[in-house]
Amino acid sequence: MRREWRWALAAVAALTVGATCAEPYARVAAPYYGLVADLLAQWHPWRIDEVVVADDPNGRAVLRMTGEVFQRRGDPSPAARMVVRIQVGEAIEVPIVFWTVLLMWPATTIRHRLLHVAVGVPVFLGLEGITTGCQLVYAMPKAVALSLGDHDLVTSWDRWSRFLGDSGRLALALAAALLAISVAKRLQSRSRANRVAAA
Amino acid sequence: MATTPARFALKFVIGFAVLMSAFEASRGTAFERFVIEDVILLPTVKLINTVTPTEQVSLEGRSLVSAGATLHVTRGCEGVEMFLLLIAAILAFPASFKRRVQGLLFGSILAYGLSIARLMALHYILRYSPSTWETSHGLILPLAPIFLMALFFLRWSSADLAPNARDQDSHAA
Repeated sequence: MRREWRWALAAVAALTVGATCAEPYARVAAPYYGLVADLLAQWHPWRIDEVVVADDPNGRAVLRMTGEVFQRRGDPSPAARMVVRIQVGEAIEVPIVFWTVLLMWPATTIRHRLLHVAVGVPVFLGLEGITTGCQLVYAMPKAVALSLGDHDLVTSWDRWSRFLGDSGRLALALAAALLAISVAKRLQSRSRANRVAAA
Repeated sequence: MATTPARFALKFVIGFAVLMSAFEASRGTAFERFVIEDVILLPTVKLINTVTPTEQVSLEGRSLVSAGATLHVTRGCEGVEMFLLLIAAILAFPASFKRRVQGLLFGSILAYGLSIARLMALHYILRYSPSTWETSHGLILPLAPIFLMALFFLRWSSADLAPNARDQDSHAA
């Protein structure tokens, strides 16, 4: 089968999986996003209460982060309560692109494919952290600035969020998959060189 | 000239970030209004009214307004990023100047067609099948055109590699 047709079929399969599994995926991934948000909150005057999949006011399933921001770290009372929502369909875009590229990339043996996956898992976790994880908390610094009276501040989190929203997350997902493939190839060639040296 | 997946990825992401930043910097300018409103949204409205004259869609600001639906075209929904992804990918891939120009030309035509088709699809879905809006707007319609662009890129890049591969074969022979 021609390469383009293989990729086209994979794209159709990926979109089908995405359309049917967006909500279950968001439920599985929510604790990880919560972990990332908590980690980011440790260095900022924020507190994350929960990251869950819930229905929004229109009855649609969304990934919802609730938390609080403080004017300064250690303040006893919060300056604002935050609720950030991301569509579950948006949350599954990154995994769809990343895993489609990684799994469709030519590999000569099953072992090589497994190596792609093994290298891909940590890369993917990092990718999810800097994309959906960051999208969940991007509004927190703005809320802190607003509470301090700065109404015009555009934070680097805002810029990052805009970049992600403007398909930057898809570009990053593709780049991360290619990075994982490159690392896997390097590991393969190193182990091959070691075997040749040993022989 | 060879490239590794990692090198291509790095060039691609940096290229896309630079292009996107440049476009973001142009927000609110006459250039941005021309690209979004005159080049993308107006032809979309005209095409919808030509294909389905009963729709009577009009462009109000950046919203496609008809009797039954109002589609607000917000930042990131206009389809400009498809062009930028294409340009970044073609620039990141090693190819001759001529092949790059060809890729940009044909790819831009495809990206333009997909942008308009996507906005038309969003309008019709909002109007006639709002229950499928969430899946269509949140996943299928952002990703499907990107996948099609990726297929175009695969085709373009393999066509570019073929003569090089033949050349290498003849050198080897």
